[in-house]
Amino acid sequence: MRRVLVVDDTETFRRFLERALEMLGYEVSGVDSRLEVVAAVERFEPDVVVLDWHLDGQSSKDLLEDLQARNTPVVVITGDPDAAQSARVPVLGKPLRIETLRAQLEEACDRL
Amino acid sequence: MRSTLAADQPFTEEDLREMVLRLAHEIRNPLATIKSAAQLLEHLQKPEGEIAEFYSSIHTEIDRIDMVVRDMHRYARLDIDTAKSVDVGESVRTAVEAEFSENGEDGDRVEIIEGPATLVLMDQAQLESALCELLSNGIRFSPPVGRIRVFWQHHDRAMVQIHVDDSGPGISYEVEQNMLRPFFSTSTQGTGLGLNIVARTAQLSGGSLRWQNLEGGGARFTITVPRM
Repeated sequence: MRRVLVVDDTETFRRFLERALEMLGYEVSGVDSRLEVVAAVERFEPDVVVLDWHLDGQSSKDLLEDLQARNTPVVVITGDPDAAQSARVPVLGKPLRIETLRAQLEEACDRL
Repeated sequence: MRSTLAADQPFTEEDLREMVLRLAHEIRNPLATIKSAAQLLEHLQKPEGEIAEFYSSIHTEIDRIDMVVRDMHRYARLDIDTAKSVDVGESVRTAVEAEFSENGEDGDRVEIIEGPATLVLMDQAQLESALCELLSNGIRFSPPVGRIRVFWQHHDRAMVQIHVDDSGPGISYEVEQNMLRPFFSTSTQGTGLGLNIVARTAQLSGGSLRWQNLEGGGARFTITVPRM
């Protein structure tokens, strides 16, 4: 079973997303703060991270670079796709279609 | 004293732009939650009949709000200075590819008449987005097999005109009077901001958006901008 770590600081959205991914057959964990991401990655060892581009009022660019340095596949989700143009990973705009997210997660995992 | 001074600061266009960007962000997050919840409910119990129609309406209306927010966002971002040297022909071909091939429209409906090699100083994504908007309108207002024509030509000594011709009914007087009013749309598919965005994109580069009805039917929209 593939593991997905969801990183989003909007609690209600993150809970729905986690539940949707569980129903699609993923093992899921979630964090809502940039401070918890690295520890969660080391503990949970996800196959892919779903990363909100704006966390705690800041861009997640530095977090993305950290995850890429660890060879962890990332799919970015954001309410502002233009702001995430520099991401160089798949970027999905909110509101999401869950099936679109699933396709990107599978592609990210298969690229490993 | 400090708070009084802050309250006296004039509300600038930059403040308005920042507010629109924040508003777009604040709307998109709750929309994302609502959409996720609806998708989850559908997954838990596959809806049928009338309930399926209600879910379909939820998704349609969410997508509509998202479209309006997206266009507000595009408009608010237009002043960001990301202009560079852009090849007009390349942008036209990219926009046509996006509107016809990627959206599943019949590519035989569009004709590109290549003009002279031309460079303009613009944000490439904004130019292509503006062209996509005109092409999308052309498709929307033309009959199912109606043709769209795109071509460009040098104008005066320093400008280039990029034309998008459609084969629709033309522009009525009433529509022409309201076309650039924000949120005015003659179609349920549009947000009513698209032409505003095209006009503003051209204006920011020192150009303009014009339109005219064509002899023999259809309308022509023309983006005119300075050449490099």
